Amino acid sequence: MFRNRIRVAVVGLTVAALAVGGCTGPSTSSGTTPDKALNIYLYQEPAGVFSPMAPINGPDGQVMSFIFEGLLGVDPDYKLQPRLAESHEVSADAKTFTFKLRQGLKWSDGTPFTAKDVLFTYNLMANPKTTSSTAGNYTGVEGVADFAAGKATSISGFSAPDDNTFVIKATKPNFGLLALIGSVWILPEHVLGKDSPDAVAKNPFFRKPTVGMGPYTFVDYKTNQYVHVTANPNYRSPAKIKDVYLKPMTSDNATAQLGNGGIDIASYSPTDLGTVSGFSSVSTQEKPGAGFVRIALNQSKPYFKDVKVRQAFLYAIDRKQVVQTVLAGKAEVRLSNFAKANEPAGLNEYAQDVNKAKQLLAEAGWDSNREVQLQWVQGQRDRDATSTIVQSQLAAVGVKVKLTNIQAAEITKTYANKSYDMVLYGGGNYAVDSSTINGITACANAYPAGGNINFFCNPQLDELMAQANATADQAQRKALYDQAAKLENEQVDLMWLYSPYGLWAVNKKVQGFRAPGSQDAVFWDPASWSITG
Amino acid sequence: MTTTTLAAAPAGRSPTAAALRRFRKHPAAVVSVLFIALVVLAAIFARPLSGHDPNAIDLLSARTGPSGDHLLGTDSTGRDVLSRLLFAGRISLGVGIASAVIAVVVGTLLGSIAGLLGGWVDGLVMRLADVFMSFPSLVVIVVVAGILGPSVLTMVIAIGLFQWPVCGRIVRGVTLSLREQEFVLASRATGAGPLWLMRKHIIPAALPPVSVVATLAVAQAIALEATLSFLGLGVQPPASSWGNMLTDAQSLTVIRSEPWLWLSPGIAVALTVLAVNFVGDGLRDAVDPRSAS
Repeated sequence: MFRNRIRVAVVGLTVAALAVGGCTGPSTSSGTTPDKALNIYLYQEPAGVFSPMAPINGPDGQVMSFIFEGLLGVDPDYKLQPRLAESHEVSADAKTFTFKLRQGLKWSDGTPFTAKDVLFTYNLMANPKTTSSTAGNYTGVEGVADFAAGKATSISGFSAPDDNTFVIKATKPNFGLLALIGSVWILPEHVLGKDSPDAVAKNPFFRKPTVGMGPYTFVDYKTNQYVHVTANPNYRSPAKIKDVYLKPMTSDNATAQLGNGGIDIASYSPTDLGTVSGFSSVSTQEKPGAGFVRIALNQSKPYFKDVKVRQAFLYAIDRKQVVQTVLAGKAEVRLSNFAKANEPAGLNEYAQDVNKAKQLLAEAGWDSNREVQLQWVQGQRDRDATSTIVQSQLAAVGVKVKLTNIQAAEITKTYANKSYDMVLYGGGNYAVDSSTINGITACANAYPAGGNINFFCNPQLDELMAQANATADQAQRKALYDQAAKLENEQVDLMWLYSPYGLWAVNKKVQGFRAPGSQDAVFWDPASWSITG
Repeated sequence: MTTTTLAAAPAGRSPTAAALRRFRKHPAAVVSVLFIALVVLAAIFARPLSGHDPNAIDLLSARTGPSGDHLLGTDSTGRDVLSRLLFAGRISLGVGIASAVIAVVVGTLLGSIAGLLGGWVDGLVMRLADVFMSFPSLVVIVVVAGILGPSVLTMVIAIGLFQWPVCGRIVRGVTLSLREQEFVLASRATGAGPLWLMRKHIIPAALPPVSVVATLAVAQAIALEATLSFLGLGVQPPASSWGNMLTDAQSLTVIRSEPWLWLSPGIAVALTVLAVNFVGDGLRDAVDPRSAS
C-alpha cells in the first residue's frame, strides 16, 4: 500500500518539476509579430475598456497612452508638457486657463481636430451621468455644480471661443486645476457625439478605439495574448516603430523573455535585479514614483494626537535600512508628502535615533502597556517585510504593535468608523502639482469627505496650501509650498516611508524610451522611440 | 492507541501486543514514527536548538545563505530560517493535530448517533456527510477565511469540519454492525440508553479504525495548513508556519538563487506529511490484519 503512495509522490514531484521548467523555458513569441515590432510587457491583463471615463486601471491606461493624447501631458519627470495644445496660459488670479491648440491636427481617420472635440470631451468627463470616474476632479470648474444639479444644460466654465482655443474657468483661484484636468485624453466628437451622456460609456468604440489623436491607433485586443497598436499615419510627427504589441504575462515570464528577446520593454521587481542586470542585451532604467508607501496614524485616537508620539514613531524606524534591505536600495526615503523634486532643503530627516524616540515617548507619556494594531493588505513583498520591521523596531523603543492582515474590501470600514490605529498603504500622485497633497492633509478632507484618512488637522497648513494654490506666480507659489512642506515635515501627519522606483529593463536595440515611475504608470511619447539593428 | 477492550487474551498474545508486532513489521511506519518523534522534539525544544529568536530581524544580514551563525540562512528581513522552521513546526503540527481531533470528535459523535438512531436521523447525517465530501474544501475554506478574517483558529475549525465525514462514515458502519449483536441487545434490554451504549460499546469498538483515519487526517490537515498559509489565509505574520515561509519562493529568481528560503520548509512539509501517512498505513495494517497487503 505504501508503495502506491511513493509512486504518487514521485509522479507529483515530476509534474511539479515540469511545471517549473515550463515557466523558465524560452516561450515562443507570437507568430504574427514581425521582426521590427516592439513587444512591451503588461503587468496585468487589461480590463478591455479603453476609455478615459472608466475607472483608472494600469494596463488599460498604458494602452491608451499610445492611442490618445491630451492638451497637456505629464512627462517622466512629472512636468506638464504641451501635447495637443501648443501653449497654455494661466491668468494672474489663477482662475482662467487658456489653451492654444496646434494648427492643422487631424484624427487618425483624417477628420480635422478642433477645440470642439476638446469641449465635447471635457463636458463628458465632468458629467457624472457618463459614469466618468474622475468627475470629482471637475467640481472646481465654474458651472459644474449647477450642471450637476440640473440648473444648467451645459457647463459654463468650459468654452471654445474659436477652433483653436479652449478655455477653462475655475470657481476660485486654483492653480492645481491645470495638473488635475489638463492632461485628460481627448475623445473624437465625430464618433461619439451622437450618443446621449448616459449611453456614451457603452459605445462599442471603447472596446476598439480605432480613432485617436495619439501616435498609434488601436488594431486588436486578443484576450490573454496582446494588444496590437500600429503607427498613426496622421500623427503630427509619425512614430518610428510601426507595430507595437503590449503583452500581459506573469512577471517571471517577462523577465525570462527579456533575456531571449521576446520582450523588449518590461518593468521588473527589485528581487529580479540580479537576473535582469545579467542579460547583456538589456539596459535598465529607474525613476522615482509619484506616490509613496506610508503608515497613517489615526489621529482621532487621543494617543496619536501628540506630535511627539508621531515623531518618536518615525525616529524609531531605520527607513534607510528598510530601503536597502527590502527594496535593494531601489526607493527613496520620504521626508514629507512633497515629492523630492518639489521639496525645500533643510527638512528634518528623522534618521533612526532610538534614544530620541524613547525620550519623546517618555515626554508624551506613552503607556508602554498599550498595544496598537498595524493593519495592511498582505501580498506585496516589500510591504509585508516592512510591516514586520516596523513592528520589531517599534518594540525596541517600547511600543507594542500587533500586526493585522486586513482584506482590501474591509479597509474602508475601519476608516469610516475610525477604529484602526495604524495602517500601512501606498500610492497617490503628489509629484505633478503639490496641490494634490491638500487632499490628504486638509481638515476639510477628513475621511469620508476626502483622502485624509488619518484625521490630521492643522489649520495653519491648510491656509498655506490654499494660498499657494491661489498663486499663479511660480516663484511665489514655490515659496509658499516650501513653508507648507516644512510645517508638514515637523508635524508628521503621516509616517512617510519610501517612494519605490519604477524599475524598467529595455532591450538595447530600443532607443528613446524613458521609464515612467512605476509599473502601472502610462508611457511617455512613444512616437519618439526607435529600433536600431 | 490501538488498545481494545475485548476480554484479555493469553499472556503475550493480547490483541494489543499482536497489533504492535504487526506494526513493527512495517519498516516505513517504524522509521516514520521515529521521524515524527524527532520533529515533535525539535518543535518543543525550538528555542535552545536554534539559538535565535524566530522574530528577531537583522536588516544588515538579510538574505544571507547558510553559515555558522545561521545554519539555514536568513530570510528577507534577516530572521533566522532554522529558528523559524522549528517554531513553524509547532504551529503546523498543532494545527494538524487540533483539526484532526475536531474531525474525529465530530465524526464519531455524528456517526454513532446516525448508526444508533437510524431512520431519518441517519439519512440526514449521511446526506450532510455527502454534502461536505462533495464540496471542494479548499475553496470553501478560502471563502470562510475571507469572511471571518484569516486566523489559526478559523483555519483549525474549518479544516476539522471538512474532514469529519470520513470518520463519521466509519463509526456509523461499526455502529450498524454492533447494533444487532447480542451483547448490545442485552444492554438495551436491561435499560441502557444511547449515550451509555456509545461510551461502553461503540466508541471502544470504533477506536482502531478511527485512529487510522485520524492519522491520515493529521497528514491532510498539515498539507492544507501549508496551502492556506502560502495563500496568506492561514497563519498570520510575524508567526511562522511552513506554508507562509514558502511564500518567499514566489519568484523564479528566489527559487533559483536563494534556495535556502524555500527548500527547508518545503522538505519539512513533504517529509512530515509522508511520515504521518506511513504511520497511518502501518496502523491500518496493524489493527486490521485482514486488509494487510
